[in-house]
Amino acid sequence: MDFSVSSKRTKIIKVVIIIFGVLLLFVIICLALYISLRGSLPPLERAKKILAEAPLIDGHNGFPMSIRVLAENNLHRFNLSRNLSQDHYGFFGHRVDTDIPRLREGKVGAQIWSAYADCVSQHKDAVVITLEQIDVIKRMIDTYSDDLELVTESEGILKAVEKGKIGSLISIGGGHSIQYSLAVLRTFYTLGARIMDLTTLCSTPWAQYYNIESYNKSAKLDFNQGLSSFGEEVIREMNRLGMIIDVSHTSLATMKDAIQLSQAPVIFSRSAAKYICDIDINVPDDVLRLIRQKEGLIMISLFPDYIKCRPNSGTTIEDVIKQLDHLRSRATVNSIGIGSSFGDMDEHVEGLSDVSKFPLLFEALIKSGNWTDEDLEKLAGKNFLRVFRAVEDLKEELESKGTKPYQAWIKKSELKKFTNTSCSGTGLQR
Amino acid sequence: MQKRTLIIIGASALIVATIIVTVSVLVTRSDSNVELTLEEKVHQILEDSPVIDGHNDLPWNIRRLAYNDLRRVNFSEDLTQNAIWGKDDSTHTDIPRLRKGHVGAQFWVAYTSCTSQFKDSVEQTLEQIDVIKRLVDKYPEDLQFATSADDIENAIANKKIASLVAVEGGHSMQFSFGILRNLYAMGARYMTLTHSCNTPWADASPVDAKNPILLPESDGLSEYGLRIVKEMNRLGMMVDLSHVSQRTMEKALNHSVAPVIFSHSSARAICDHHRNVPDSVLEQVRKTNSLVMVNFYNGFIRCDGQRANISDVVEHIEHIRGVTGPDHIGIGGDFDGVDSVPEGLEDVSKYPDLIKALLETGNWTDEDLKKLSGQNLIRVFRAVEEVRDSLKGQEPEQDAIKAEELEKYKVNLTCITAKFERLQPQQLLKTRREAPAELQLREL
Repeated sequence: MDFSVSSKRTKIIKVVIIIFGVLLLFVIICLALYISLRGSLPPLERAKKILAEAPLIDGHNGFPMSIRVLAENNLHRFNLSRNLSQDHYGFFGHRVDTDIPRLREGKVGAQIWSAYADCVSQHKDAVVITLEQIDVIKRMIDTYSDDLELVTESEGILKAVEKGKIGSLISIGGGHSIQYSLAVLRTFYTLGARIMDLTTLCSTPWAQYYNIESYNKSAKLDFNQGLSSFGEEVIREMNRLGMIIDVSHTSLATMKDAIQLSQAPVIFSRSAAKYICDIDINVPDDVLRLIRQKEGLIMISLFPDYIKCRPNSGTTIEDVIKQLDHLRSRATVNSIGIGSSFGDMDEHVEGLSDVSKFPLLFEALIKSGNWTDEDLEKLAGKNFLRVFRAVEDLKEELESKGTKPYQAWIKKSELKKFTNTSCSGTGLQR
Repeated sequence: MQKRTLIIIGASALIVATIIVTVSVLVTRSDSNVELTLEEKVHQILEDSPVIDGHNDLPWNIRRLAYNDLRRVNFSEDLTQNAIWGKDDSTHTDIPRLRKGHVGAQFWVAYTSCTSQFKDSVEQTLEQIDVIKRLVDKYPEDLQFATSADDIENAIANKKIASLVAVEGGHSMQFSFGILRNLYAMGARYMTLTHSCNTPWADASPVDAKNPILLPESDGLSEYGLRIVKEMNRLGMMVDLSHVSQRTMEKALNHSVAPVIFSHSSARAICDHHRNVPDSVLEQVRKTNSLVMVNFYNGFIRCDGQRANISDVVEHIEHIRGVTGPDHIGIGGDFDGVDSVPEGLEDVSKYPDLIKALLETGNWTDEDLKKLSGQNLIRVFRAVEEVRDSLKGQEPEQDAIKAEELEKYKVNLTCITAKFERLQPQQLLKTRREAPAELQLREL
């Protein structure tokens, strides 16, 4: 009896092992086929596949400004579901590189829309204009709700993509939009903005913009640091709120101050490497090293003048790859992304003329042979998600420590040379 | 044997009698017609229906006296003892006194002065909304943020004071629909169309003064102003007509598809001040299911310069009720926004004394008083929300004010860099789905 039981058991074990072995072999073969098949896809198809799996998160699109300038923020005047470069939409014509069909073609998974007020409004109606831009972005998302979905947290991006929509985030186009008021900053956050660029084309009384380096010495501010003491309050409050700090277009001192002071990773929503194109707006290697150390993010702009310093010769996709290769070598592959600046650009890289062309960039990167699929997924959006999550984690941490908002007023000395006081300070305290 | 029987009968009778007496005494004691003291009655009324006050300017005092820094003042304390707040004429509010006053909900006002119009009014309004939110955040055991009638009831059930945001003056929206929508998104649930200055689309009450220094410019409400009322209806933001001119009141009442409120106004028939509501308008209030929330400011209660007292306020309330009935009155004391209040209504702890005075007239049932204290506001607020829900398909207003309009009102554009379109014939897309094959090039 004993003998026959054990031989039966041995038989069963043997069968199980064989079945298991066959299954394992089967799985290995399938995997190998899959990898080789994928590997053998033409680069463009492979690019599209990568973007299907790791949605592209584009750091900056200025289209809301075009809506303001060309259509007075009236959404009835154009149809974003049509290709706006077609001839019969004459009044947008070739000036607009963004619309829904082309975003779809470009495999854009999430778009950061910029709510921007021109620098001429600083100390005047910057707050009003920025609020109007936030409103037009939200109305745009509502109007085209089949294709766009407002996103205010990191999870929301993948959720939107799963629903087949383009996750839409709001960023504030410049620190002058808060008119040195933390209450206004908090308002923007409550209204849905999740990123703010500390400066764009002008300094604020608390942060310097890029042109401070060489351009207008008389605009140089009294404080030596890149950020004044109120600027430091802004960084702290953005950390507490869970708002991503963007230092594109800031001065070297400001970017360094912000990166070092912030407890969460900091981004450049649309910049390029100074090593390749030596202009004030671009990022030098020592700052790229800081980004690497602090696990921040540099999102490459597709604006030709940043990619390649040129007169006369055109900027090509190859030039963009050169930039990306350099950024990757200095900041690492974990800290790079794409911030096209489409939407209100009047010049484009050859071959990257509008938002439908992103797959071509990825195709070129694949062809270059230096970029693995994993690298490209990080570039496309995984790095941005990592940073967004880190910013949210810090917010939670600070909340659990009981950090509270408060009213910090900018000092009169910080405002001194700067303000046209007839437009503000009508309240009791400024 | 007889003796024992007698004793038994006697004892039984005694027991039965005791039982009868005890029961009848108990029954009469629990009779609902037993007299409560007046104070107890007031307490019961306000327990059932706490005060929902339409207008308190504490946020302005926080800006004025504490620079919006909430670390500088403790609202859990009796501020009459505070070195700064206790000495000020216009401070009437702290949490202990709100509790004593049976306040269940408060509209806190995000006010900015007319001097900020066309300058930094929007920014300041945002700062005031921010301080309201931080205030509520700082006192979570007593205050609870609210943006709907349901929220108010929920807070009251939690024994907290529902705290809502109000905006006082159309200048806070800088004639921009985008700003209006954002104010709503930030929690504002009513907007007073003007403060004491005209906007480029609505006239303020000083145009109705005896010797007016302000002239009407919009015949009450311009076309643009009517569109603002329409957008407010769509959003579910209550239209508040305190501070506006009579013509503005009439036009708004005619045009609004939702009921409107007067968050802090009293009866013009009793005190003929342009801030008070004339009887003809009270008629319209009744017809439109709207609401007048009575203001306690001495200067609106008595026009003869004398110090008012509670009975003067009672006179206003009774007069309004006489015209509108009991369903269209509420309370909007204007505490912390005025420097002179009636005797007996010195601060936010005194609402019960007003209810008591009304009870004493004998003209008010408990139901009527509950309506006055808060139920009317809840009803009107819900009606406004229902209108919002019924307007779900309505498109948001997108056409901004035109340049010609700003010129007509001589708006000072020094602090305004935004560009405004000129009126001109042009072909516009009717809807985004009906794009014509050719689109005339617009002048940019």
